[in-house]
Amino acid sequence: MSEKFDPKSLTGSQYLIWTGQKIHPNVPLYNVPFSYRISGDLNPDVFEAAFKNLVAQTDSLRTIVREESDRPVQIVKKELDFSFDFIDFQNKEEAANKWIEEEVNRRFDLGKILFHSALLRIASGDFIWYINQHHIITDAWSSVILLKRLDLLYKSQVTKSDEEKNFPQFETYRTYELEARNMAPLESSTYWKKVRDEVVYSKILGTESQFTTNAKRVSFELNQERSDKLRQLASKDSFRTFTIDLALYNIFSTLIFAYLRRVTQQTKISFLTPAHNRTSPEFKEAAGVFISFYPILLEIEQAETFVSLHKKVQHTLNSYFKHIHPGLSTADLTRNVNVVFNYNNTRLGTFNNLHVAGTYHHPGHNDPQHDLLFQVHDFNDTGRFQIHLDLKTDLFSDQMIRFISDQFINMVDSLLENPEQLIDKISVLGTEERQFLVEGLNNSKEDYPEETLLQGFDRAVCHYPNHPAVQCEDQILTYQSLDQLANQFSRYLRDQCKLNEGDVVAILMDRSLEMAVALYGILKAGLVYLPIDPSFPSERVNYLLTDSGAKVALTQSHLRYLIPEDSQIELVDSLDFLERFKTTSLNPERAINDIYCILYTSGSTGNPKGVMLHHAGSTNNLYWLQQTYPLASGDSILQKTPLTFDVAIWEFFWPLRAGAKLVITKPGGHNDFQYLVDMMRIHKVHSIHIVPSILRELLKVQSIKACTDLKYVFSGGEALTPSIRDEFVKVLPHTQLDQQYAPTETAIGVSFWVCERRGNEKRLPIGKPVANSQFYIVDQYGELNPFGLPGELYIGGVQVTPGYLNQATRTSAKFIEDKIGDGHFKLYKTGDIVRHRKDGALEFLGREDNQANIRGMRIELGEIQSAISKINNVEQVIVLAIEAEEEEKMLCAFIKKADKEETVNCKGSLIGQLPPYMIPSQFVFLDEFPLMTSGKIDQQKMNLLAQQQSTQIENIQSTTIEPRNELEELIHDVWCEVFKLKRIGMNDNFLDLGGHSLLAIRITNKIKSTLELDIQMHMLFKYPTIASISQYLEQKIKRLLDQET
Amino acid sequence: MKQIISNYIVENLISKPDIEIGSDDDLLTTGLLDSLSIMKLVGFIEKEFDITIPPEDMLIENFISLNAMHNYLESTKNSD
Repeated sequence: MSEKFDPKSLTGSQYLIWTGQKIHPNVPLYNVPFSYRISGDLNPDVFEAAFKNLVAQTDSLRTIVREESDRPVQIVKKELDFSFDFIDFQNKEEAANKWIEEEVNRRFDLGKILFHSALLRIASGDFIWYINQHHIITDAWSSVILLKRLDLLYKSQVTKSDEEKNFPQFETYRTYELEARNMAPLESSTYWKKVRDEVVYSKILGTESQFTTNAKRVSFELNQERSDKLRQLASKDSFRTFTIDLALYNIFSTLIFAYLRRVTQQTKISFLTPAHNRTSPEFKEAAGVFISFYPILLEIEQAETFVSLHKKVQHTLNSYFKHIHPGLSTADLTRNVNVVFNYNNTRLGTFNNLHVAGTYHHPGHNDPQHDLLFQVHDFNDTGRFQIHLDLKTDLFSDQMIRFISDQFINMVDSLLENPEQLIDKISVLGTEERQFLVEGLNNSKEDYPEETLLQGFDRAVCHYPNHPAVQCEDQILTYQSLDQLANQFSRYLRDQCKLNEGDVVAILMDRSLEMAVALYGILKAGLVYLPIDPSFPSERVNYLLTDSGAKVALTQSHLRYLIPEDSQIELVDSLDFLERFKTTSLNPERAINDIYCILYTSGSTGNPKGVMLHHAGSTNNLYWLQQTYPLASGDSILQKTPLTFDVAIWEFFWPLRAGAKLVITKPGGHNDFQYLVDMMRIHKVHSIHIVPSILRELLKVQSIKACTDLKYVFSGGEALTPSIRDEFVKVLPHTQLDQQYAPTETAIGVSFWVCERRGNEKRLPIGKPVANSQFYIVDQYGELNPFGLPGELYIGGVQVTPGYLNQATRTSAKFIEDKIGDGHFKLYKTGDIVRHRKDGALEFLGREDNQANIRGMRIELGEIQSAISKINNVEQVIVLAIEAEEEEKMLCAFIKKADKEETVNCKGSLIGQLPPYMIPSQFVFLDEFPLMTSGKIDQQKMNLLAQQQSTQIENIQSTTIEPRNELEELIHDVWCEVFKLKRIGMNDNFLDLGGHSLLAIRITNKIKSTLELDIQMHMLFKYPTIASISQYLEQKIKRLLDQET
Repeated sequence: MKQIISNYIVENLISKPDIEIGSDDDLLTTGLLDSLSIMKLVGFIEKEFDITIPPEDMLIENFISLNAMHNYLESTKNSD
């Protein structure tokens, strides 16, 4: 940054402010409004005269900023036209406040005047001096200096001793800064370069950066007790340092690091903090913008306490102070840091010996890069620390802002209580937030029938004895006949197979009427069913039979070979043999907490584990389903899901509680999309539960559009992407699409989300808990996370199953006592990483084991995958964090293209979609993904592939397109000049080339002068390639020509 | 050595040029030097006496007075 500055050029800080204002020309984001309430009588005329003297004797107030060629310059005007108002509010304080509230948003024209001031009279002996300045001519310290100057000038005016005050002027600092900036010690510039390369963005409460400015300030004070205790702490041995203010500054910095650690869970954390730069006595008394921002950066460990953290802070801040130097605070250094801490120890003093109370207002906007600002001061010398939090409202809701204030105060209290405690174990939640997380978000309590699955069916048999219950091809069973057959089957199991209540019966059958009867028969006999899929390899069949302790295996002749000979095998090829059993019910005594089914889930490691499902959980789910998506007696549901999945439970038991019809699809039919659609259409299916990848295929079937009776589609099992939703809405405009989330351990479906018809969300939420279920998002210690922060999902409520069969250790590790909610049910630890959106809906981010930690940022690989999967021509993608040099990890995306001949513009498409740290540094294109014998992708092989730097790596440079017309050529030359490159492709992205706002200004200015066209710099962010901006300009030129002719 | 430091403080860090700093005068807790000034002083001492003061030595007891600074600087010489 060794640019030549002419004598009137801006200081480094002014230049950054000017740039920021250029990007948001119509937003008052750099207003610094103060009001000083003066208790006592003032003479408005004298005050105005004093203020005019103040302007005359303060160069910063007479400064304006203009552009000369493409550079900003400042001009100090000798004479400045301005008005100073006196407004009498005649005891109407509210009106005065309203006036201020509106005035703080006033937009300054940089080229005209950069302040606005007035004297307000609230009542007699009660005044407010209001002064709003553009940040380019002031900082908070400077606003206080103006009050002190005005105080002197007012007193002189009163005593008519009208001498010049010889106030120090900003110009002295400006020239000093300009000279000094070229003399930065090498050691210091090296230090900041290193910091620049290491700073990280703070992902506060799961939010992601947005280029907006809307913000609000929430102000509170630390009460006398807290403030006193902080000062006491600052004088204690391990905390004290050169000065009390420095010690306090260190303590507040420690608090902010600790706070950010808890709301980001990052190991690396940085924030910006201003250096006041008023190093000489003269500078301390000059008005103007002196501050400049530098980041401080720390690594925080799991074992960190306040004391150990404070040591690091002290150490780092010492280096910080040592290395601040004019010219070293650059846009480059501060760009990626989104948190600011500003500690100001100035005091207002008095005005004309009258008491003054200052208020620092907020213009309703933050710098777009600053998501959260902490400002700590005690201008009014109350002995209590005033805290302002300036938060971007696009990221934080009002509710979150309340929570954040409480969290910060809790952090302060924890420090004061015990500085030796572990940061990660501090309870940061306020009462309101805790209640919201435990109860507010889990407001799911509803009455549900405490009954077994069969009781619902029994009622339906009474109500609809002659309605069709099950249909398989042409065969139909009425409710009554199904009931009787199932009773007979139950007697067969008990009497002939000699089974006792609670015994496990394996069921390895193709979908058929027989299977339906067997299933109901097993339940009616008070037994437990164990489904085995005919597609399972024999090893797995053996394992399931042995592990579950199944006494009997029901099967069909053609599948018998799958079952080991030493098992007790019963063939159910037809139902004829049931004739000899009585049709009356055995009425087994089953309790609602008894188990009726064991579903084996394939763990990612080790053998599959058997989840025991109990009646209460499934009944609750089916009852909730019926309340939410009412199914009527004429409706029908398809049975197409293999019995080994929990979705088969809702298919089998939901319709037959409601008097509806269950239509059994042919064996293998669940993979025949045309067949499924035909079945849905012919049987006027009410709703269907289907995994997203199959749903995508079904939507491709033309005739699905004829399924006009289809009311609901439930999707779950894997992430339902917005692209499937969009396709769904096109194809089935009248059907509701719901996402469900359903770990087997919590029975069938435990969350639901009605998908919006459209939206540009990154992912569709998995939604809210079903009836009588609770979701808690917890940290590594199982404690509730603050609202919005990703963490592991714990599920509570009646649907939590009793655990894994014969695996007490595993069960007690995954199913734990509920210490968060009412403790009535166990909590199931899902191992899934989720977060709450602002509206409370749950978002699924990935598995606990699918996270990468890169440069201290916790990254959900699934999130990157879902972004890449939306790019044109990407068929399949896997993102891995692979070991690069020196144990550093880097992100690599492996992509299978849909059309091998076509290219994929990865990086370009991801910019703007993902934060920069989530964009893979390498893209590897594969024809096929290497698979292991289990069918899973072989990640080790992929790692190797990436390290070999295969030639298939496609970079954005490889698709360089030359300029195709005169306009593109012209723009190309401008870009090359600004970027100092020889060649740039027409589709290369501005940001990808390293473009930032300063370069954008240069480019737009050059385009303006070459084409004599007015172009706003933000257009460059909207049209970030030469091709697109040329197209935009061409349109613009055409319009202009049309207007002329 | 004390005179050099004293001159620097009086000329560059305090607004009153006529002030006399005693060897044991408390420069820090009295607010005579603020945080940034003391850091600037540290930088000056480093350059002037060609030493590097590690952050962990930047403690009140080493810098509270001219005497303290003198003693501290002597001790760093001895440990070399």
